[in-house]
Amino acid sequence: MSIGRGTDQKFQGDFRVTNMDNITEEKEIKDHYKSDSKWIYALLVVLLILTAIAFHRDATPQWEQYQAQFRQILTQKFGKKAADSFSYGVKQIWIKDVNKIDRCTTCHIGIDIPKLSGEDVPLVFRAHPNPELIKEHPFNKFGCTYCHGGKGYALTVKEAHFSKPAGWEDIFLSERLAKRYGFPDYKNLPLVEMNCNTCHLREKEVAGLTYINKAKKLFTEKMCTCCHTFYQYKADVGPDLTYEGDKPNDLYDFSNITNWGVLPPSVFSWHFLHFKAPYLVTPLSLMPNFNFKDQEIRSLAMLVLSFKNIPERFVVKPDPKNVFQPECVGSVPAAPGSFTRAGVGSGVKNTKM
Amino acid sequence: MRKTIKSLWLKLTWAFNPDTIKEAYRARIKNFFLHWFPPKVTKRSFSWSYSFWLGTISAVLFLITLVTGVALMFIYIPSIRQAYWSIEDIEFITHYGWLLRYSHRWAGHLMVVVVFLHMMRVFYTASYRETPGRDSHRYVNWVVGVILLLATLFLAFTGYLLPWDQLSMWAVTVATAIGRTTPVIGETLYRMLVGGTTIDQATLIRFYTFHCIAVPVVVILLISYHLWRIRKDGGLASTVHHDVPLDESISEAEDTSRVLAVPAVPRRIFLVTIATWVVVLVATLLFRAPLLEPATQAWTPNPAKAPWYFLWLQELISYTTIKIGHFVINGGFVGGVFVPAVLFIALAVWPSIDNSPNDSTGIWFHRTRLWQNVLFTVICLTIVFQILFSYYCRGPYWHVYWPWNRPEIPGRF
Ligand code: HEC
Ligand code: HEC
Ligand code: HEC
Ligand code: HEC
Ligand code: HEM
Repeated sequence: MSIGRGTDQKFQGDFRVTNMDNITEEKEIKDHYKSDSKWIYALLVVLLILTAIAFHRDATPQWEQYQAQFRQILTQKFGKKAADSFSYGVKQIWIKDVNKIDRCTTCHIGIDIPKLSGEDVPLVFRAHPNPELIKEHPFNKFGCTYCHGGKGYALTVKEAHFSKPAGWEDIFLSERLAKRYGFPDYKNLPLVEMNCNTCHLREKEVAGLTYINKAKKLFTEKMCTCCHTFYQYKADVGPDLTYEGDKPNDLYDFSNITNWGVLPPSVFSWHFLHFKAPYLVTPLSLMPNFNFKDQEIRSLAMLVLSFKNIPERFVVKPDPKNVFQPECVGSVPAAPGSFTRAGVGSGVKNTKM
Repeated sequence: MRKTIKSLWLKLTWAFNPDTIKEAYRARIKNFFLHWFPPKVTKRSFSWSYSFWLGTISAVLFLITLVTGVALMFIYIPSIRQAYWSIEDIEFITHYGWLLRYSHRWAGHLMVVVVFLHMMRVFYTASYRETPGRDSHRYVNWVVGVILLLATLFLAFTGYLLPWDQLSMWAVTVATAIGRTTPVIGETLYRMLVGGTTIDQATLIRFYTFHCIAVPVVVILLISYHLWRIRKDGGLASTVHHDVPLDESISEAEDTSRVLAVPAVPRRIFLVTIATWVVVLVATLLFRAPLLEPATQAWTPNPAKAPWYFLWLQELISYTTIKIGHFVINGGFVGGVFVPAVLFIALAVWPSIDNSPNDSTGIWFHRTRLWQNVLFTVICLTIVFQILFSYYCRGPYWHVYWPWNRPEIPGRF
């Protein structure tokens, strides 16, 4: 090592502190890289513009435009005074005991103002269409996303009405989605019933749940629990359906589906096809073909996807007369051309493959 | 009044804008911000086309992540219950939260790229060489650099987990599973890093502390040493500029290969800083940082991919499982641990393997280093190719597809 080389004559360079007294050159510097300054100024201008864009973007969030529009509507309908009492800002429903936050009301401001119902009010600001339902489920206790799905935290339409058909559990169950799956009454947001049934699972019939009520009836009549485990009802011919709605998409076998028809490729469609004819998705399926009609298929697909594992405190305790008891009694009613339970035992497979 | 303001302004700025040569030298000594610069720098090391200023750009990117990161720390909550939602708050509620988050994200990713490019530049110019007849330790700086490269990767990796969404949790699951296959110490290392046997709260708080405190402190210390080292080694490695005497006996007019460091160097650094910032800001305004659904163990994205800078390892794993008879050597170990370990060790000791003559120092692609450059390029390109291939062509179940018709597993709706 040559640590002591600092004094060596050969050693030159910036180790040595410049002796300022030696420098007599009061000459102007030849500034070689003056052009750097030009670039600096140019880039500073660019930076300024970019900062202005960022400032603009931050200062004009999407929701503020809706609130401005809302103020206009207030002025038109109730006069200037009412409009002045409205304060801008992010609004949210905070359900303290479960630490849930829904900010939908930042845009859907009129949701709890009954006077704002009617076609002339833009949909965003309209009062909630079914006040009876809301009486049972007040906003301050239920928020919005338990029923509607979507991203409660988000404050842009695209993010709040989260619709990317990926693994997102609580996708926004919109009108458009219902239309895509061919629900005739898509305007009433039928898909929301899936979320209703996560809480209302134990009840046999719940007012307002057209599809789910029908599906539960079928589930009991067709004795699905003769083959499928469902809570206390044990059976092991088919897979356990207790938490079917939690089954992740990559555990489904999509490989046999060659033609989705009009349906978009998804787990939901998988169930559509499966209920239409089990062999469409599982060629050697032991599940009989029940020849369900379209509305029944939709109902059942919604029902099985609503079988989720949610904290017990959300689950509504049913009235003793109204308990959902899909018991298996006797033998499975064979669907036409299908098999009986004996067939399963002796290993005879469904011939309808 | 105007006079005092003007004199105050001059007092603050004269050093950055000297008029005479004497003032330029004086500035270096009197001004805190300039005192670490040498009196002069060679035009060669100053030029864009030689170093591309990649080291400085790395440092600026690090600075940007540091500033935005500290700001993010005021809002982010390192708890698996709240981490995801605090990120959502940063995006939707906090003023400029989106700006901070995206800037931090893009500057961080860019830093990985630029540090790697900087390493390539140093390699191709054989700048780890000592200056003949001079007490330099560039080898040390090279090794410090290799550690900085690893630290940068670790910094990026630990940050990746923090949003606690499906992307981050599964990427970290994949990457830690790779490290776990190391024989003997793998399991212990894994448990130390992860804090248990699954990616959970214990992992999050560890990664958080690594990401926000431990690693940045180490990186700051190493960068400081790295830069100090360059100064002590007499600037960028080269055999050319040592022909010229480096002391003041040469007059300014004769000294054609060097320029006064002040004002050129601080000005150039300022320029590089702004330019880098502009690039990050443009990326921030154009691209959102990804945020998928909250992390859940119940559902695995298919395929689950490691962060992009580790994808080449994940790619290697899929074809390094070696079968000899009924003897199977684990691909996770060979591709995920053994190969990168060998590569990094080779990188660290390369200066002593490189036996080309001294003339090659500071010259791009010197012909005496042909075989090394070819080898190095092949390895770098392989890594880059594997990353791109893995990122764009790997689909569900790690099957290979064309990027434009890579299927996705159908979602729920
Ligand atoms: C940034 C403003 C904004 C936020 C936040 C917002 N919405 Fe909306 N919402 C709209 C607008 C605008 C419409 C009008 C229909 C349209 O253009 O899509 C709408 C329509 C709707 C509809 C009826 C139409 C449909 O597509 O089904 C429902 C239901 C709804 N929103 C629920 C929600 C819920 C639940 C949330 C919270 C997770 C929410 N919205 C958050 C702006 C918002
Ligand atoms: C108890 C479940 C429930 C809750 C809680 C709930 N909704 Fe609804 N909402 C529904 C149902 C069901 C419909 C469809 C009603 C219909 O059209 O018949 C609906 C319809 C809507 C519509 C469409 C109106 C139209 O005319 O098409 C909007 C907008 C809406 N809800 C917003 C909200 C917002 C915002 C919240 C939270 C403040 C909320 N909802 C809370 C069940 C709920
Ligand atoms: C987060 C859980 C939850 C969701 C989601 C939910 N409910 Fe309820 N619902 C309740 C609770 C709790 C009660 C009160 C039960 C009681 O009083 O015993 C209730 C009561 C009711 C009642 C009256 C009493 C009864 O039990 O029949 C009806 C009708 C009803 N809900 C319909 C719906 C419909 C329709 C939806 C979907 C649009 C829905 N609910 C979504 C929790 C929920
Ligand atoms: C004879 C026995 C049998 C009966 C009755 C039966 N299933 Fe099945 N089910 C099966 C078998 C076997 C499978 C597995 C093969 C397949 O995917 O079709 C299955 C699969 C399913 C699946 C897909 C589960 C998954 O995740 O792969 C659903 C959902 C389902 N059945 C619902 C029902 C419903 C609802 C009923 C009542 C209407 C019903 N099943 C009646 C035997 C039966
Ligand atoms: C956080 C990461 C890093 C920062 C901030 C950084 C910064 C710098 C800076 C500012 C320079 C001056 C020259 C230039 O700009 O090119 C430099 C030079 C150098 N860097 Fe780095 N660097 C980093 C990582 C690395 C890595 C990964 C290596 C190699 C493995 C490395 C090895 C070197 C060497 C040997 C020099 C001297 C080059 C010469 O003498 O020409 N550095 N570094």
